[in-house]
Amino acid sequence: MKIQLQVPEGIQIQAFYLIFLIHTTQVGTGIMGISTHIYAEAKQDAWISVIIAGVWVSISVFCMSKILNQYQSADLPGIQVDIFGKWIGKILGTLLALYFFSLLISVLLNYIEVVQVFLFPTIPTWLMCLFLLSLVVYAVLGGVRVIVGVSFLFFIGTFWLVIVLYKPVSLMEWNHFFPIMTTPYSDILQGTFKATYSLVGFETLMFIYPYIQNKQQAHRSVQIGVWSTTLLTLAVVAVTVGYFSGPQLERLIWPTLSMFKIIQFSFLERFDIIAVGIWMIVILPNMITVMWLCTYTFKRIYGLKQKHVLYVSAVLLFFGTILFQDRLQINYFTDKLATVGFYIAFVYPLVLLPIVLGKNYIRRKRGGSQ
Amino acid sequence: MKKLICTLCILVLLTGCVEKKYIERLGIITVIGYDLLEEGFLEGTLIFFQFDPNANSVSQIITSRANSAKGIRQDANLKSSKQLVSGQLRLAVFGSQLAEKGIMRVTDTLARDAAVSDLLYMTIAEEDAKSILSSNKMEDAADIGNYLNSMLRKNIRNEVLPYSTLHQFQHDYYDIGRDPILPMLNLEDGKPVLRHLALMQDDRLVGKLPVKKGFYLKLIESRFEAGHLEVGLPREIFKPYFKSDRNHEEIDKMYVTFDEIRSKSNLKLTSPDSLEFKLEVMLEGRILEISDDLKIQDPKVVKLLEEELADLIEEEIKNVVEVTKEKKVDPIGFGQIYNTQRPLKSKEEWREMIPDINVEVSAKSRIVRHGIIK
Repeated sequence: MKIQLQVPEGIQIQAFYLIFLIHTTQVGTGIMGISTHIYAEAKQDAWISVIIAGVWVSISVFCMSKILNQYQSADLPGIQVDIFGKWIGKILGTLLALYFFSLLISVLLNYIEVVQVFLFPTIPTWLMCLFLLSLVVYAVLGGVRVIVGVSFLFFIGTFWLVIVLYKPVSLMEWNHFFPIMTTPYSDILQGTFKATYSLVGFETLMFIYPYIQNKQQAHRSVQIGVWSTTLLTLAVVAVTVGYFSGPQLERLIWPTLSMFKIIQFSFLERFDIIAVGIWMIVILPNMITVMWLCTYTFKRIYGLKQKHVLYVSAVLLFFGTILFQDRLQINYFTDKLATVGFYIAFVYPLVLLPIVLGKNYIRRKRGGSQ
Repeated sequence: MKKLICTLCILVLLTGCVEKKYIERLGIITVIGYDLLEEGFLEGTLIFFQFDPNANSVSQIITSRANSAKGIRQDANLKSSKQLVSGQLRLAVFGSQLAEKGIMRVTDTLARDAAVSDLLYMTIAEEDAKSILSSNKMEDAADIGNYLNSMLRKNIRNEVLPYSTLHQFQHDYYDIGRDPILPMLNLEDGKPVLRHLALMQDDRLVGKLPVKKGFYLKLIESRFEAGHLEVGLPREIFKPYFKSDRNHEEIDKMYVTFDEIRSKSNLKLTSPDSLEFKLEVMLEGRILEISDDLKIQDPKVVKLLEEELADLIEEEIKNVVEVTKEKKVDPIGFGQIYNTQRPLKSKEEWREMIPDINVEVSAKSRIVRHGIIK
């Protein structure tokens, strides 16, 4: 397996598009219910938790880009093999691919459940699953450029949802934020931990890196991308905490979607129904990117054809998803996955950076002495 | 290409698997009333629209009994050929007997059901919900549900009634240091009218307040942009400024009506230990009617009017606060403000503190205009 990856110029992308790619990969089903989880821990200081999480994301992205700078054009599976050797590197890579696979299941399950609760109570899970997966497979077959294009277009197509939040904003109560900083620090950090589930996805950088044309600008683009996600999450958390009273918020499963229930236009009475439908456009680029990450990692490690991996994963995903039956199982699965995601996105780069730096230092020293 | 066409065909056909709802076969519930019967049973009164071209009337009313709110709907389904759906539910009326025991038992289902809008209005019937919904005096509205709904919406828009949607109710119910307040429906000559506001302890009805006094509640908690106020000021004080006597000697009050009211209020907790609150109210309004012939162009008169009005507002606000203290309810949200400085553990903790609240009120008023005559 080659560590450095030379990508033909024709399928490279501009670093600028990383803003959208990273942003749409981060925003997905997590943001639908994140405020409840953060509020349960950090209470009225939930917004502080989000800011801490945002700073952490920023640091993690910084570490990633430092690691990538050590190589000319490598990705995480390659770097792992380089650092830990062939066997451990491949095992780690496989674990990552499996994580992405599980992430896909969790996104599918969570969104399908929302559709079942809000729109069609009787729609079978397999049917929704088939619809979504066929779209995802179709997009991933198009390759990296299509994926990036999709995330750019769908970002434009959904960003305006933020504007309709003016109504809940006008009904916010500022009392809900006081007293500030009275929750214990440990609770705020617990809240930060919960916030990470809706912020994972920026590790895409470690995989897409060889495909970037102007690599020196990648870091800046990714930072813009992750900060826009953090600000969005912060806005959502702040509005939900102000709009719902505390114990009410703790009872809701998807506060962000429940908030849409108050929005009404003279030509459209139930905006929440539209919002749930539009949410599919929010999660699609998310799923497409994760599917690409999953299949790409398998392709890199085992040298398989990405198309074949894609078909097999799609079938496995289909069956994996319909195995889950109810809310409790989905909750348990999502919770466990959030923990794994936390270590992969928030801890791993910080640990990996000194190892990469150390190893390269030793290598250079040896090279110098020879 | 062939593959693509195949896939498209499959996708189009698969959409047929999604549940369909034909509007002719639906009974669209717009209003639902709940009453508590003696054996602990709930009695539900449902009004629903039907879009059947063969039907004689646009809406129907069904009464059914069950132990739970959803059971009522099940039972009602047995009494109608239509599939009853609650996506257009606009109004819920709770009978006073149920309200005294607590309405959360029934409200839970409204909140849990994603089909029910958060903008649904919640009201309490002064007697029972069934008799209000069975009334047939509905002006020119299509049905009684429509009439009730537009009456409530209009009055909430005009800021006569508090904003009493399902969302607001839940918000106030769950919030520590605040109680919900809901409008009450009553029958007058068989016609549903709004006369009182329901004071709630959590979800239990404990007292009522005339709608007119509700104005002062709103004055305390929020800023007004519209609104309407009729006050009786002592006539004696203004006597020197009368232009002529309109021969109403037997009345000892001079009635002044204001509208276009704009107000700002500032409620602060000055001392958490002794529960001292300080309330400043600034009110601006336009005179619409004066019962006596007053020399309104005289600055002294305007000043006097402003002072008298301010005194009256202070007095009325104090009275309203007294009533809420007596009933141990907190629709204004004193507890919320207290909570921002000294976090409260539970609603009960605050409930016990309500009678010890002290509110120092200072009001200012300003008369902006007085119509097109002097």
